[in-house]
Amino acid sequence: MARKQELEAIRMDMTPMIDVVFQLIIFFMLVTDLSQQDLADVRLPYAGTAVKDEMQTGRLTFNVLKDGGIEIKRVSQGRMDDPATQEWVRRFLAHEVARGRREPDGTSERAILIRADRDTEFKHIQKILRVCSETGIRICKIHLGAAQTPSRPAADPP
Amino acid sequence: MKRMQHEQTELDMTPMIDVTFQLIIFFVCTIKYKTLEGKLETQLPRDVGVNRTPMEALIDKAEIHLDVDSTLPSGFGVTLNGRRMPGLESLSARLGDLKRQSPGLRATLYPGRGITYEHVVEVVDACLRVELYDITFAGVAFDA
Repeated sequence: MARKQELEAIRMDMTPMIDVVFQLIIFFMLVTDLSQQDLADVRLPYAGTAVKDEMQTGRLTFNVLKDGGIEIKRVSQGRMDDPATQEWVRRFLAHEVARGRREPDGTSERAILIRADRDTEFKHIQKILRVCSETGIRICKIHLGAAQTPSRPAADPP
Repeated sequence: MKRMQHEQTELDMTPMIDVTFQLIIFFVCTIKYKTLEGKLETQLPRDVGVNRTPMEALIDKAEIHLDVDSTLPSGFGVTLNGRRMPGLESLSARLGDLKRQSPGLRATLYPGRGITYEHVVEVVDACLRVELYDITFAGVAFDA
């Protein structure tokens, strides 16, 4: 009898914990946008005519950092100055394009979103565009990422 | 007997607090709030090789050259079809005139050395303001 009472005394009601945990999960799921996980932290330039960017299936996203480094799906791939990076981008795009369909004129149906820091030299982006235009890839739908609201003028870092 | 009842209703809150705090720490560290972003739609030339057909020559073109000019407040200068533009407003107005004259107008951007992404986006923005959507970039023609 004493043993049974002892067992009952250490039983714990898990209901409040489960309630709280589920409520927290629901809250964070609502406020987190998983579709933006492949967007790197870059300071996009403002464009008044920028249209709302609806996430498109099959679109590729290239983040170009201020120093010209490329980031895809949160993984740094090096700079386009480096021939090895260029080769990697070439193979990556060729692989992705092969998975999609082609337009009647032979160009790829897939689009590419380029999100670059506002101070990135355009030559880095131009190198990506050059690879996009190569035979076997031929992606010509280019979306340039831009901010829809002007950012507050921030003091330049020292 | 009464004392025993009291002991039975006592709840150990430690696991709940542990789990809750761990979840909060996890989400606070990984959360990325939705940002308001837009896009500008452009395209690369669809023609193949350097062969230009007579048909293409008939299409009016707006050749926009961008070059670094530190004397200007914007930090860069714009030349439209060989004519220097005083600013982006003038560029937009001139493109608007050309677009009215030729609805099939195509803009080609020639970003010079030192031109940044922001400069290019500003020029693309100026083109889109006058509903000039056919925007391409020079130097990236398709391989033959």
